[in-house]
Amino acid sequence: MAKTVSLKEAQATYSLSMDKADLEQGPIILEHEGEPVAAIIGIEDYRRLVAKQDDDTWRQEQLQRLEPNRTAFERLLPELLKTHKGQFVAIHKGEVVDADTDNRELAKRIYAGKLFPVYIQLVSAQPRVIELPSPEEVRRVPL
Amino acid sequence: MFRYDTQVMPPAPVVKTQVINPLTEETSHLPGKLDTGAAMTVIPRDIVTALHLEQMGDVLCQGYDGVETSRPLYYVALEVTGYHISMVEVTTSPRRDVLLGRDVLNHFILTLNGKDLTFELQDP
Repeated sequence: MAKTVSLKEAQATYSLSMDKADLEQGPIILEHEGEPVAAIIGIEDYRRLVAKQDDDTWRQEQLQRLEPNRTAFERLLPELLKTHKGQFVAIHKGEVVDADTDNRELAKRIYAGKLFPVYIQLVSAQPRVIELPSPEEVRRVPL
Repeated sequence: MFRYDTQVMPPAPVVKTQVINPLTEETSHLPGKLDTGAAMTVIPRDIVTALHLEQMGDVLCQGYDGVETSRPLYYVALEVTGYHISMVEVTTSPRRDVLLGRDVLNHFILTLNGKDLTFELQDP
């Protein structure tokens, strides 16, 4: 349950009494003129938040590198569903360069031909979802 | 026969694992935690940079909370306790060890003895 502290004046100096136990109950929300303006969270929550933001940024940068072959796959998908459904296809320079029901064999040929950058994806009407239920270890981020 | 790693709590079956770039053969030696709950093997994010791995796809990963996240895919070779697997599709996370998922574990006969904190991993 979040605790709320109202700030009466923006320039005023405040003294908040809190300890770790207070923050374990939930964040402390700071309000000014009835609007929430900030939150104080526990240090472990902060570290988790920073680690997640860091991973999100890295992930987005990595995914960005798949363009434009990923865009080409999405453009070609309606036609591929008629011709390659259930197969993995390799998109290079915006075109299908190889296909296989076994993505590992396909990847071997891509490596052999050094066809990079490449986008390998399963031709399916629904996106492939992989189950990774193990909670992830969160790396400590220096403050 | 291997012993569980008792440095983690609770103790877990962990084996020596090599992650190899199939193109350059650059290699990283890491602990590999056996994870029968994971459908796909996961490598540490830093290994992508260290081994100059080429991103080759993406996949939606569903975590324990049911949230789906799009993550990059790579293809690597793995060496697990001396057994070589030439091409494995893996994703990444910000962790220090490898999670060996069912895609890799299903290459082996795995026998866990939690009472004795020992396990066997054999290639049939």
